[in-house]
Amino acid sequence: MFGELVAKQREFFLSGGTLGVEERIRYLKALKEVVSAREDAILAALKLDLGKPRFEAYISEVAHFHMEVDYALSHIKRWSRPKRRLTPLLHFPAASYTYRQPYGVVLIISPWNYPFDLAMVPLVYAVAAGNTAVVKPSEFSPNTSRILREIVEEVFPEEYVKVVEGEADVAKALLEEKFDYIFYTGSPVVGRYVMEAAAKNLTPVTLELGGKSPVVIWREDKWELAVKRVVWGKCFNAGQTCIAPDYVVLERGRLQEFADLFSHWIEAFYGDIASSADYARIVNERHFYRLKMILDAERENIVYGGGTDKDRLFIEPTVVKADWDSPSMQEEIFGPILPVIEADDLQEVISKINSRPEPLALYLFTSEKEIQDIFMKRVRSGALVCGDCLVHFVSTWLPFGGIGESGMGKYHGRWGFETFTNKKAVMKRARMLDLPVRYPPYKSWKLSFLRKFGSFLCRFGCI
Amino acid sequence: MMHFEFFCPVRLIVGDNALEKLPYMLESMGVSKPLLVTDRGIKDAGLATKVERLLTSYEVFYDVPPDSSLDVVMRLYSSYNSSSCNGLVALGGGSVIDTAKGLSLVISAGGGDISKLQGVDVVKKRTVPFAVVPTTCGTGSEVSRVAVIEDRKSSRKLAFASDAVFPDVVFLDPAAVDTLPLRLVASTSMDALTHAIEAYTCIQKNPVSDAFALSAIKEIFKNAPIAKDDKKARFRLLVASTLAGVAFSNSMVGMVHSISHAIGGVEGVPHGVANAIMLPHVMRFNAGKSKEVAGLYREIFSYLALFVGDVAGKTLVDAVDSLMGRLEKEAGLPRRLRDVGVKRGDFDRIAKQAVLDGSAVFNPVSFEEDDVKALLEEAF
Repeated sequence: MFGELVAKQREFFLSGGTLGVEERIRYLKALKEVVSAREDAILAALKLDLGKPRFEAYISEVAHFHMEVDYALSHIKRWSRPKRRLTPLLHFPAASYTYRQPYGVVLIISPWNYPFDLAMVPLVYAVAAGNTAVVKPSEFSPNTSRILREIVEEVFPEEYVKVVEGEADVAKALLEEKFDYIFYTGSPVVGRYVMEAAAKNLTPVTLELGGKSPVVIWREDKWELAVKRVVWGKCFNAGQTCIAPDYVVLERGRLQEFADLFSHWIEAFYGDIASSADYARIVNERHFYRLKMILDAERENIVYGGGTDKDRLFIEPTVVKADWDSPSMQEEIFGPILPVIEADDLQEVISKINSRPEPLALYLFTSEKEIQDIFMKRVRSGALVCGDCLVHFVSTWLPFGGIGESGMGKYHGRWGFETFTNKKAVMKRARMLDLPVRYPPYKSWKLSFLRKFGSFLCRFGCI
Repeated sequence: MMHFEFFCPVRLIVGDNALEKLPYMLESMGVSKPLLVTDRGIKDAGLATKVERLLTSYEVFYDVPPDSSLDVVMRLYSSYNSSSCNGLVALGGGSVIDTAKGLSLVISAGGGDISKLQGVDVVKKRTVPFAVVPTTCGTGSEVSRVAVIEDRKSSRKLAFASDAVFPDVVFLDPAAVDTLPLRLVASTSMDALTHAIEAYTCIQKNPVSDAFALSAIKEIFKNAPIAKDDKKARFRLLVASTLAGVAFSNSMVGMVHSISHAIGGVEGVPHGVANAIMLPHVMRFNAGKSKEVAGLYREIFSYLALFVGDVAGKTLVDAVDSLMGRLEKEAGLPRRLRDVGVKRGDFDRIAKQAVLDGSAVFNPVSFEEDDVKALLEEAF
């Protein structure tokens, strides 16, 4: 079905169409311009797809895109230059380089929760790195997908970048083709399927998945601020964020205090949250009912909230009293429901978290540096943020990505460029000197010479 | 094939101190002694005095009740005759304007029983100059060819439609809505929103009235939430209500109005409040029954998303619901029928009248008494 498209892109790539760094810069600048020109339409599409408040849509999608593209633009020349490396004395005289060679034809599959950002930022790095790309945005955010297609069509010819809209069958058909790299953002279930499909062609993948990102509040002096930031992080995009705080672990006996502060901040942020324009909606009915089922299963344990409105796909931010085996602690919640677990002992918390699937992010609120250290070294997670939620996503100087169940591969900033390039080793040997020692016949002096001086010759490098 | 008519012969004079042009306009229409029709609330707010100060020779009638009726029109007619006035100035909300419209019909017909003038185009031409100063953000009556007046005897609202009821000139002055209580700003804005949304979706919709409707909807969503302490916003709501009036006057209204006319007739609930309460329920009903209407709501919402930005939710019903939620909290807008004194026992009568109402036929989805009862139950 897409054989022709992929063949066309590969031909364009192999003909060197994407290799000019100046060209790439020109394309990225044009992309930036078109995005700026269509900003209102993008924000409106996000409103239609997710009821996203304009402010949230702007900072998390449009502004972040600009930030990454600006960073890429100012580094792309440096990144794509071959880098001089040392050469072992053994090979003297020679010159060694690493060259970041683009993979070729890249497939980017993006989700519906941040439909603009999670398609565009990988695309920026794929293009900055010199690949061609096929982008398959989610069918659950059709308005944004349409804008994405229009923007890309305005900037790129089809053999360079193409946005393919469609349902899951389209994604499936795309995965039948041989790509040179696959960048997938979405759920762990589909992530497995993507990797399986990629395995057939030994195509390398980046998987940006999700998982239950814990919040641990332990020996924290600034409790009120901690809860304030958790509320913000949880309610941002109505909890439909891959790095959203999924559940909270705190010291036993403090649940009520937490719930009171939670309700205080909801009131302060939104007033009547049901009629606030600052709170997003659930993406579709399927996800609404999935969340409703969690709420129904936890009905008795709701400490705060619990309101729903099917017609408006509205779910109220809800605090649930939970333990490690509660219904709300099974799958990633991906919505505004927050289980809170009370624990007695930090060691127990750490071993519990480590015994569960690795989270994409871990949010730690503590006033003790030793606890921060313990979490940095002993707990496995894609990221550790001390004292806040979500904000590490917006940094071009930190790699973003998961570990284990929460994914593989990192991007943002230079890691974005590295993701989409093959670290190619290049060695240029001189031909004027040709030592006989390596050639047969392997006389015994040759072996003893290498035994004696080999390690010396290999340990010291020269330019 | 598209076929429609569009007509709005009203001169609008809009802006700060627009009212000061009133004497000049009256003079140019040959009015030497106008009858000022208004109500007690307007007098107490000092608005009537403001207008009276502009006039030299005039007669004034302060006693239009909030839910006017045919007898009031007849009483007005006799005082008009006895005072030898030769022009009309209506200063007030929907009730005052419609009463004055009724009066203009009776005058043009040369007297007689007003109930005989009910229907379409019974009076062809108005003979008395007529100026209107609306003082609420909702009626839209100042630019419509319909007057709705209650007949106390049958407790039904009668409709008088004719080109003769269009006023000659309308003054939209910020001063007219400055002192309007917040509660009324809210309910009349929702009234205007109902006009605009129904005008955009009912079967006589057309591209010209669409433009007015969309523009009104945008202004209402932008300004209703901030009208509490923003005088400019109130003024924009006043203008929006006129825009919505132009829209629905040319494309008619639908089911919300049929029900709220009936509720008003049976229970005396103010028109704007009844409209506001019923609007989201009827929208849900219409969108559920017709893909086309759902599509039109989506169109409106896309427009809002593009031009208002901070509108709640991801559907128009959601946005309307949320806006009303806000107005309920901040301005005490009632949202349930039981809060405004409607009783379950009246549902049958309301439903019966609603399906017979003139605007029922313009609703994009046809409906039965049972549908109305279900919606009333939902809104109770």
